[in-house]
Amino acid sequence: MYQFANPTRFMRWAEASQPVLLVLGVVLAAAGMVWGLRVPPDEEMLELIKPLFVHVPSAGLSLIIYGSMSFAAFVALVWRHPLPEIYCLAAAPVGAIVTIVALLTGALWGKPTLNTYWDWRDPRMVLELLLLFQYLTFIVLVRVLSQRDPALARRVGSVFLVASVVTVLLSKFVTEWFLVLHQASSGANMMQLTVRALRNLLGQSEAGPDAAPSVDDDGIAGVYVPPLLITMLGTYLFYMAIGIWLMRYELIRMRLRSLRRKQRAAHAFIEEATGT
Amino acid sequence: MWDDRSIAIWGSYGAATLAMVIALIGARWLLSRARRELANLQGEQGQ
Repeated sequence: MYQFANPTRFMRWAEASQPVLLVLGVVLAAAGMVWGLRVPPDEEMLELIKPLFVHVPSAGLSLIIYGSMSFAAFVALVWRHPLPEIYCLAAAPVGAIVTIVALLTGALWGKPTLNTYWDWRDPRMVLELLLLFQYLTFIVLVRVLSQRDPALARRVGSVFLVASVVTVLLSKFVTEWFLVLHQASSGANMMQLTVRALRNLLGQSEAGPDAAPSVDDDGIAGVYVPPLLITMLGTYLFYMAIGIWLMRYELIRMRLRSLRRKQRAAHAFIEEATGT
Repeated sequence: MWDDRSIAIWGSYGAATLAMVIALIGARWLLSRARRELANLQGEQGQ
C-alpha cells in the first residue's frame, strides 16, 4: 500500500491502467445506457424509469467524489502528503461535471413526474446545487490562491473540503429524514446492486415471472438492476480514467512551476553576476 | 413529438453522453497542452 504513496510510482501504475479503465468505462456505460433505453416500462413511472439509469450514477458519483475528496483532504492535512492534494485538484472538475449532469437529468425527469423542473423547498435538490457551488468554490479558491502560494492554496482548499463534507452526509440521508419531493434512495449502491443481480442470476427472483416491474420503497425492481449496475460501473470507470489524466496534468503543472522558479532564479543570478 | 416524457428520456441520455465527451476531450486537451509546455521549457533549459 505504501508503495502507492510515492507520486511517481503511483502515476506509473495509474497511467498503465488508465487505457483499460477508459475502454472498459466507455463500453460498459454505452452498453448500460442502451440496455436502459430498452427496459420494459415500470408499473408506476412507465417510460420515465429510463432516465434513472443515467441520473442515479451521476448523482451517486457526485457524492462519492466529494466524500473521497474530503477524506483525501483530511489525509493531506494530517500527513502532509502531496498525492491526496493532487487527487483533490484533479477530482474537483470531474465532480462538478457529474453534479451538473445529476442536476440536469433530475430537472428533466422532474417536469413530467413532479410537474416542476425545480423546487427550492426540496432539500435534496438544493443540497445537490450547493454541492456544485462547493466544487466550483474549491476550484476557484485553489486556482486564485495558487498564484501567490501553491502550497498554501492546497492547504486552504483541504480545510474547505473537510469543513464542507456535511453537505454530502446531509444529501445522503435527507430523503430518509424529511418529507421531500425527491423520491427515497433507490438503494442503488454498487454492493447492494451486485448482490441483487447475483441473486436474480441464480434464480432467486424477487418477483414472479408475470409480475410487472415496479420501483418499490426498498429499492428498484430486479429487472432494472443489471442495466443500472452496468451503467454505474461504466460511468465510475470512465470518470476514474479522466481523473487519472487530470492527476497527470496537475503533476505536470507542479513540475512546470518548479522549473519556472528555477529558471527565474538562474536569470536573476546571471543578471546579478554580470551586473546587467 | 417532443413532449415532456421524451425530453426527459432523450435529454437525460444526451446530457450524460455530452458530459462524457466534453470530459474526455477537455482532459485530453489540457494534458497535451501541459506536456507541450513542459517539453518547450525543458528544451529552453537544455539550451
